[in-house]
Amino acid sequence: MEVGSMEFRGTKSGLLLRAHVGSDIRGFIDRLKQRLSKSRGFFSGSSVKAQFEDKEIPVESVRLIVETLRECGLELSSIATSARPRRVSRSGIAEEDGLPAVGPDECVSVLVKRTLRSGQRVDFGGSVVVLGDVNPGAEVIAGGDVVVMGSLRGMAHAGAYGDTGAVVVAFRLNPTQLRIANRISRSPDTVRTDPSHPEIARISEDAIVIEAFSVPASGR
Amino acid sequence: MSGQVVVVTSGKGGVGKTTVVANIGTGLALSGQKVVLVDADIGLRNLDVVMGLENRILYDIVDVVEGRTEVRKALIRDKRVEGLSLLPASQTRDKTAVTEEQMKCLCDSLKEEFDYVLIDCPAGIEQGFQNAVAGADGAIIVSIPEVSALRDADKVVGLLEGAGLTDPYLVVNRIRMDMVRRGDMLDVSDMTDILGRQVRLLGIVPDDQSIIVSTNRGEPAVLDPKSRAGQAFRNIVRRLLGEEVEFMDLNEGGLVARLMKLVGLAK
Repeated sequence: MEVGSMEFRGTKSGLLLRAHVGSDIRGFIDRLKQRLSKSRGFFSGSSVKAQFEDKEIPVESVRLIVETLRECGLELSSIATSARPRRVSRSGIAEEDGLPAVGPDECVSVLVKRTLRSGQRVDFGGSVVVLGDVNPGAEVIAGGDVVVMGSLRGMAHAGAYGDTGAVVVAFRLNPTQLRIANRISRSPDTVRTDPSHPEIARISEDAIVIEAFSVPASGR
Repeated sequence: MSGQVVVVTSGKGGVGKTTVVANIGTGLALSGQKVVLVDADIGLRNLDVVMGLENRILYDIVDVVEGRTEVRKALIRDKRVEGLSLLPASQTRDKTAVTEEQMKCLCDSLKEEFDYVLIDCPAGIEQGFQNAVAGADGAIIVSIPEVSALRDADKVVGLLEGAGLTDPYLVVNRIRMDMVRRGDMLDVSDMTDILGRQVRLLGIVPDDQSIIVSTNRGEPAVLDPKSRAGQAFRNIVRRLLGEEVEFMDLNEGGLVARLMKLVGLAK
């Protein structure tokens, strides 16, 4: 695909934007606006998946593209790049096979205002905050962090797209299984007594460790 | 007059849904309510056997929804208790014989005439479950103190929420306090912790061998004044009718302990 070019295509799962942004993001945004204004009513209100041919794409560019799409009534549902999966930073983007990718850190987190019961699942590219419990048999999958303001007894996967800096925090952390990036840990086979304080799980020296959650000192 | 349609469901099989329907239904009727029990487990008809009414079936639920007979003629009146009726399932057809709209329609017409329409839901969460909950105004979830049953109950709470049935009741069935005390069985509080506050505890039924006997005889335990499970069901009925009833003390031991107490050897 030519550098700086874009095409919209209708697919079974919705609208797909394929683009090779290149280094001239301003020029790309102008062309995107032109393209969308030409077919305004037609695209408006639909959700769109973006697929970038670029090997790397700056977060700022993604933010501009998301804003431009939104101004024209389009909601970006996921981002894919053709870059091979790699370790990504918190704000980075890495993706394969059209799964929703980690979006820009500042704009993506979702608040789930209820208890997730067995069989229910939240799958989101950014961070997920649950105001309730996550029961056994329920799953939370997040590109970013997972925060549960209740008991986490089900499965949580933070940093699902490779972010090893992602954490899982719960008011009561008692999961059947924890995953962070590509590490998996499960609850011990012996009965674990219920924790009595908030805890945090993170990757430390290649393994998932759980420790008491305390408010980080300011300025860290 | 418009009654309530209450579905009794569990997700998991074998936890005692049918027994609970038979006992709560009979108990409600004993308290002067007009009650109809609807067996929605089409193809695996059981409720008629537990009620001891198998030999009186002329028409079943499929005959009704397919218009071969009126509802009135398909209802079987209970032989012991005034105001109690049963609409049996069909044994020869399967769950696809009834649609959700038909069930809803049937429930709506039944609640015109009855105070309580209790629906015995099949195990599982497929079409049979969807049919059974289609016309319901409320739900009673039955679970036993086992992790697998609890998991399924939790799933069902979620599904019921999706169907607009929030705040279901919970009946904990077949609890054995001796095992709970040893830590070998889930306690009721473990169960209510998982299921959350939206789920209201309606009753705790002790494991009772006499239930097996009463089920086989077709006489609901609630009719037996000596049965402890029967007492638990009588309490459940009173709570359903709005009374505040304390939960039974299930901690008194078995026969030996009670005998010892009687002769003054133990407190």
